[in-house]
Amino acid sequence: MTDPILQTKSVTKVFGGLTAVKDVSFEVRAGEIFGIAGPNGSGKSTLFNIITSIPFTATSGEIYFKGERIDRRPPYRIAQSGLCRTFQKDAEFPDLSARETLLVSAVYNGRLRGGEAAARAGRVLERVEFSAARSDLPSRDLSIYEKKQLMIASALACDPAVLMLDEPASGLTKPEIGKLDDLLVSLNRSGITIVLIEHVLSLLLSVSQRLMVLNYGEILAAGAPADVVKDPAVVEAYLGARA
Amino acid sequence: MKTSLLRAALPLAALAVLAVVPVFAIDSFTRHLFIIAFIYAIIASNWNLSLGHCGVFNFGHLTFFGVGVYTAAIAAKTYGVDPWIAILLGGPAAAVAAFLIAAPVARLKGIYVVLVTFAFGQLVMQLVLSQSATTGGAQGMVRIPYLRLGDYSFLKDYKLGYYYVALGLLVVSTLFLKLVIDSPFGKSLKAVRDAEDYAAARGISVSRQRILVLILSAIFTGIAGGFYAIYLRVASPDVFGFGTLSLALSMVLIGGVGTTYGPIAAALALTFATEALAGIRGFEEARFIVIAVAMILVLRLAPGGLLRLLELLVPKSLR
Repeated sequence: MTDPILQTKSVTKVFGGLTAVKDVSFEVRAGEIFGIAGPNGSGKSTLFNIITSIPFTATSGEIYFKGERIDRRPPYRIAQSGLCRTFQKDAEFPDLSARETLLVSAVYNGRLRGGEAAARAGRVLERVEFSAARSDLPSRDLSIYEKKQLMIASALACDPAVLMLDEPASGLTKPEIGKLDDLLVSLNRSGITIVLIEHVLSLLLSVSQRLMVLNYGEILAAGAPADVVKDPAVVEAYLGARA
Repeated sequence: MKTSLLRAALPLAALAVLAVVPVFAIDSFTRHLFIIAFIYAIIASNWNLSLGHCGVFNFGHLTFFGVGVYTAAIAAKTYGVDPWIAILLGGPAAAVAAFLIAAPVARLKGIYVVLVTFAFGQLVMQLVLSQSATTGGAQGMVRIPYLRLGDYSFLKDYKLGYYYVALGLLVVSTLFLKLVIDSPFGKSLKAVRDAEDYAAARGISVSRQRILVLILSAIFTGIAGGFYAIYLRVASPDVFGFGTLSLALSMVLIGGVGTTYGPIAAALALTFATEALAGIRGFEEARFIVIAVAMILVLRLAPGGLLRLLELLVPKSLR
């Protein structure tokens, strides 16, 4: 079995009286696509937040990336080490164009300079098939799909070892989801490990090699996607208890 | 990347006009107004770097100017440093002050940044007032040595020399700001301003960028302060006052937060506007009310500032 590239040990996040993530331990193997599912409010995005320390850290527990403990590092250091994420809500730098966004990512996260950073930005834009004609427009003027493309592209410009995607398919049309599916598989084949939170189950089941389901902040089931979706506890969490 | 015609040509045309102004404006008062406008333009455009480009609500920016004023004054008068060097010393001194204020505010947000930076300004002012043996206290310092270039005295040329030194400082400061803003560092500032978490997720240290932007914004502000002291031959605690701060802030806001040339244009316009209003009977004090009303109107009707409004009015083909 491949060594885990990302691992959490008993991570917990408490907000006042609410435990959003409770004692979650899991590991992601290098080179796989690891899916995370769960109903709204089950703690999926909170788990991403505490792994990346953006915008908050875990209340307790340990997080390891490439064998090193990262939960005490500042968020930009975690990103620089190769653990790059996207956000569930549209995040953008509205005044920067797609090209400038990628340039900044390549310079600060990829530690590249001038021409090298610009070259990587160009390569990544091509890879995600971003329209060349629109790559110099301010991000605020881009469509929803282009913003999603850009968010993934900016993470790729960081040259990540692990790409953490938080609901990249939300708001997309069926053909756009199809393109996203192809892109994720292609990225994974090129050696990037992917952790994917997704509500679009067809996409999640299509690309994930292993799946974990959260409910009320706890792991409900984990394993091969085909087995997990048949788990009675998972069915109940999504559809409610049988009468 | 396309450089718009308007953006490239207008600043150069404006510089060409400003370069020949002294040929036509031969009286020292008009030249004096331009010099003061250039100083304010440096203050406002550098303030815009931290406030407009990085979103740091630094209300202690005039403190950097004041530090420059007193550094040059003390260096030139007390220690006999050449006034040219004394002017330049204002830059590093203000940068050190910026570092001192930046460290505690780097992790603060919103109103807390305003409060801490404003308090820092008051603290420095109290320091100046209390150390009267060095700073002259409330009386300030007078008869500060003036500029000379060989045998050429800047006192007897109807402010011609000071005009070109001030214009030169403004040009160098603007080139410096352009360099910063157009660099990946400048773009990272906008990233920090608009989406802090996203910026951190792309490897940008939010607090480090805030510290750096405050230091960079202080350098030419401090040099402008140094020039102000040598030019007027006075260092007064008035530079820390709320009046100076609000005037400079109105230049940033009216000119256009986040624009490169907006605060510079606004500094020129407001300096002459306030002077013109002062000449009208009954408007000596009311002029500041007029400026405040103008600021409110601009923020309400054209939040991007007058320069952005102008850009929208100009046909796309010319931009």
